[in-house]
Amino acid sequence: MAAVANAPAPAPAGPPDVAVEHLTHVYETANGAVKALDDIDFEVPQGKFVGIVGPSGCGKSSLLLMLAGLLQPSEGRIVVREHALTAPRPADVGVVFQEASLLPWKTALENVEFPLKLRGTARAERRDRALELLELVGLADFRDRLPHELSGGMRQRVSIARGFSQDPKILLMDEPFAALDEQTRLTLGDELLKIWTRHQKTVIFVTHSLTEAVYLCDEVLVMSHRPGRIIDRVTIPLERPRTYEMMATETFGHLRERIWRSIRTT
Amino acid sequence: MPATAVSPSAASAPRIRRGPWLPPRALGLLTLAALLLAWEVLPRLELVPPVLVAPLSTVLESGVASAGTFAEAMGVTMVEIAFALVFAYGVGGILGLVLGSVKPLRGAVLPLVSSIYAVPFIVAYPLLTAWIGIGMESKVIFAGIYGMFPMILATAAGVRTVDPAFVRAARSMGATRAQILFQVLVPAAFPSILSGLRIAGSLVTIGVVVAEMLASTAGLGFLITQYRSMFQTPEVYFGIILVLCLTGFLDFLIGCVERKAAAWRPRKELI
Ligand SMILES: Nc1ncnc2c1ncn2[C@@H]1O[C@H](COP(=O)(O)OP(=O)(O)OP(=O)(O)O)[C@@H](O)[C@H]1O
Ligand SMILES: [Mg+2]
Repeated sequence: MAAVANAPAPAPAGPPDVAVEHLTHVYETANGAVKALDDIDFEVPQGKFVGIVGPSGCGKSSLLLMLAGLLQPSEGRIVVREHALTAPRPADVGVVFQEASLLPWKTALENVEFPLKLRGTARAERRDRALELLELVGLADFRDRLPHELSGGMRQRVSIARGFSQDPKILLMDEPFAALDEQTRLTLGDELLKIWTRHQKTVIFVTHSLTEAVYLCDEVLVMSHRPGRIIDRVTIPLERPRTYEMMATETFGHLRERIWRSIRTT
Repeated sequence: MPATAVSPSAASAPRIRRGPWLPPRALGLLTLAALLLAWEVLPRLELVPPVLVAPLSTVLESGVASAGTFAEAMGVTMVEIAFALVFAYGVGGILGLVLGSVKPLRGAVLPLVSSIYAVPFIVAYPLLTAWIGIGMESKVIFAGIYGMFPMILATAAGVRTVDPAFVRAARSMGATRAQILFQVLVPAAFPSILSGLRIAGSLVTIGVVVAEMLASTAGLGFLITQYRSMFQTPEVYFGIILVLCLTGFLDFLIGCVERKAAAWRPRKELI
């Protein structure tokens, strides 16, 4: 790869995978209206890994729910792969939720199989696929455990495996590594990058870890306090594949600091 | 070992925290045996008037003597209970699912259902027999409807309290409405549905037997009233024993379903 540091990302070939236009969301609650998102505008080209960072409560999870078609925006619209999004489209968009929303009566394996079962994949095939993914997240030995028998981090990993098994073109991830130790975090981050490269997925990744954001992403969107607006977009020009050594470089440090300053000024 | 001397009382302290002197199961059996013994002995010693309580052995003897009559009555009652159960579980379960998962209906209809549930329907039973006679149908319909209400309420309550995160996740994975209903809502609501099965089960049994007592020509309830009016106390008790056996059997069946289906629930009592 003829990587030139800080070279702009190559111009996207086709139309963006995700286009968010003037998106605003207001929650109507018993205590009045809460404006969670205010006039959000961004595009994610096909195959990009885009991070979203911002203070707690700024509307990141709400944004992902809307991108998944699970929450109707108050204003504005979302276009996914050239079609306006009005309802969930599981083949296009999949979600790894912030709280592992595993079904408590299903084993780890059955949970990972669930998206495949819903679309009628044959039993043997979905079992193989799910086992492979459990192996990937290091939980093959826990295939027959129920969620309440797993630790928080393990549940999160099952949830990630479930997101992969759905195999959507666009994967939305809401702080998927938040409950994990540093080492597992890095390993899973690398696995995620491998899957992303291999399967040409588009990833939108919410995180609180700036190091993780810089390490994984092509671009990082910085959101302001509630109501969330996008106040900065930081392109990460580090070459791929990313390596741990890059974390020690000056460029990495600069990028991290640039994002940190953006968040602080909100 | 620490040098400090451990006093004998401190050393044996943990041993004081023993369980009951008998395992609960043995204790239960023992209590039952004592009750049965009292049932036999007290009337014999005329400590209670034998017209009110017949000794156990007499009860069983007279039961065996009229075995044919009892078997026939039991058959009728069992068939009525079976049909009424199918009605209560089926219709009640479906209505509960619908009312629990469709928001606009939930607010409008559920309160109505729970206030109707509070009405003692048995007062309307004579009316029902005037319309459809005193045959099996009236028992099945009465007991079926009687049991349907708790089934509706328990199912709806279960479905309503399912964590919305489960539904959201399933929707994002492309679940259809039917898939959400049967693969998410029903299993998630199952503990509550089970309590519906239990309550509806006992109401159906009560409904059938009481309806038989009020107006009927067959069944255990009918037989019990008839023997009572003829002061055949042992037969009355034998009939009651049979009703208890039916209830126990139904409870056992529901217990089996419970153990199988609710295995995933974390056992809180162990913590
Ligand atoms: N269902 C809801 N009803 C009312 N208000 C809500 C609802 N969900 C979220 N909010 C509000 O919207 C705002 C944004 O919430 P959201 O969960 O999207 O934040 P977030 O950026 O994901 O936060 P965190 O980083 O802590 O996960 C918050 O102020 C929250 O109180
Ligand atoms: Mg969030």
